[in-house]
Amino acid sequence: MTIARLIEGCKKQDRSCQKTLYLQYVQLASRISLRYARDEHEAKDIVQNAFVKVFTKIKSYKARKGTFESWLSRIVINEALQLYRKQQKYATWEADFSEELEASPDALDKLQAEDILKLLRKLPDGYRLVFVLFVVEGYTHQEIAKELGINTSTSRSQLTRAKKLLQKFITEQNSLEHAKDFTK
Amino acid sequence: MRKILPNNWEQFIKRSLMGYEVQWEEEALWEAIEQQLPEPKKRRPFLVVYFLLGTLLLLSSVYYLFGKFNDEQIARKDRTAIAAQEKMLPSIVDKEQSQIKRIAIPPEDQANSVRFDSDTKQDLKQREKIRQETNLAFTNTKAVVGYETLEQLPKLPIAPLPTTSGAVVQFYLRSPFQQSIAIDKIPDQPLLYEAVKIVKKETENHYPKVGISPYIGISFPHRKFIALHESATEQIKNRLQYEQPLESIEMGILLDLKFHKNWSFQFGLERQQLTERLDWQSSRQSSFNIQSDSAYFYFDDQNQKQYLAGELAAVETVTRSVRNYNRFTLYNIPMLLHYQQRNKRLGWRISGGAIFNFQHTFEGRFLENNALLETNVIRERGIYRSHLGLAWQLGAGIDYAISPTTQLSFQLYHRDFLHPVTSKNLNFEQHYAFSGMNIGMRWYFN
Repeated sequence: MTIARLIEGCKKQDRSCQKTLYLQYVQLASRISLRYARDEHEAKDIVQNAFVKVFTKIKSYKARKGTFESWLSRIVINEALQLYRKQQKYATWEADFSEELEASPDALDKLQAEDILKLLRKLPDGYRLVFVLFVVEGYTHQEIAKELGINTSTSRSQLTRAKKLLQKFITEQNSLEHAKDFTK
Repeated sequence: MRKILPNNWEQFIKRSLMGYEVQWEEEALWEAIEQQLPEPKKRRPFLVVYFLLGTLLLLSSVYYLFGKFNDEQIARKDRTAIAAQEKMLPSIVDKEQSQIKRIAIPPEDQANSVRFDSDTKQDLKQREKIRQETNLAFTNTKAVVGYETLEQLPKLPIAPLPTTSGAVVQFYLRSPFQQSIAIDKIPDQPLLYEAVKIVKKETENHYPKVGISPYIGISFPHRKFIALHESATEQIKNRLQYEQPLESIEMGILLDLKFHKNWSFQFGLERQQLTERLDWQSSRQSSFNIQSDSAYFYFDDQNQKQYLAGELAAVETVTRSVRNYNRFTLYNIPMLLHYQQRNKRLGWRISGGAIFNFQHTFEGRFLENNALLETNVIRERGIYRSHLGLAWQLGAGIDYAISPTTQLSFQLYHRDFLHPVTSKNLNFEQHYAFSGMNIGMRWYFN
């Protein structure tokens, strides 16, 4: 069944079409939500709320204005940001960047997506959101500032800090892996 | 900090996060989603209306055909009876000639429908006598051709009754509302009628030409209204889902101009009151962080500037709900083609055509900002709607005749508003569509 037919079915509240659409796009929605959530439980909440919104507002979706994927992505991101706003907390600690860390240049090669997600979740919420919006979603600082209700200079500084902190986590992770290898 | 990662590490992270597979129990998540979804609609209301319309038309057609069938059966039966008793007729006619004024109407003026007036004792006696002698099933005694006035009859040539070969005329009329009756005639013989009283009767050429029909109705929308003023189009387009049209009340009067016994052209004026319910709930969170957003400081005893320390943040949430009913009035000019068929008292009819409508109002209000997913500042504006448009309508219904000139009617109809014709900037996909019903009276003037 084509996406257009599925959407038409969803507009008529056809349950089987809704489920097919869900199964077709749940991976995409899950990947997006995991980038923003603090944990898997929160990510599932985001996906759940996003799909409920998709099915209740699907009549407003217009194919000529963009693909369904981008519409869905936008809804998932909005859900994530909305959750963030409800639990809004700013960066509560400053990372200590003075310490120089040793790590091999191939540190990235050993990282899996799950590892990266774990490291992202270690970032403070504000840092993580700015980093994901900028690096992964491709938002500009102006757009990020608008979405998060901050000014652009804050967005820039949080991105810089997020990058540094993430680099630190990666090197720490790498050191840990080295230690594990050594003990084997 | 020493550079320890390759330059493209951000791209590496991006690629990793975009392409991997999430191992979740998708079924369990779907069940949780499904529980929050509204129940699917079992059946759209207008489909039920179409089903009822179809059933009504089918039943009316069957009823109509069944009535015709009965007429034909009676006619066949009596033709046989007439043929069997033909030889006995002259003597009967001779007897009648001396008592009743008879008028012979030339073949070119033969009427296809007649009507009987009330019986007199003498007529009944006479007919009973005929019935006994001929075994013909006369249902009434006095027949009148479909001429409108008595004065017209004397102008017709009065032919002497044949003494040897009488004409046989048989009438059937089961009620004043029956349109067709059977007339049997011996070829090349004039028809004989008993012209006692002229009663107006609907025929192919003689029927009431003008009728008037007031009505009241209620209809239910299944699409939304978008015909707004140009200045508000974009905002309104984006928030259609929040504006719920409710039932509409119609009152009007139609002039019915017949150009055929069954066909007529109808036009009139109607007032249609529309109601829309506007629901809106919006919440907005605004935050303020002293450390990152502003520099707050004070001067200490030594007149040194001291910055506020610590984490100070404030989050303010504002929630606002609005429910508003907007009522608008449309003035409609229906121009319909109407077909009506009657059998006895009960009849059915269909009609369809165009409706020109006009709306001009400053009443009501709407909300300006309406992002679908985000909550922004909302602001109310007075509403201004000016609308000149076109709609089509299709309806079917039944009539019940209280008298030959007065009918009660019930109609189901579907009305679909097309795009507005005067506002070029309005080019929406959605527009009002109603399914409704109305009841009314209809009077025809003879």
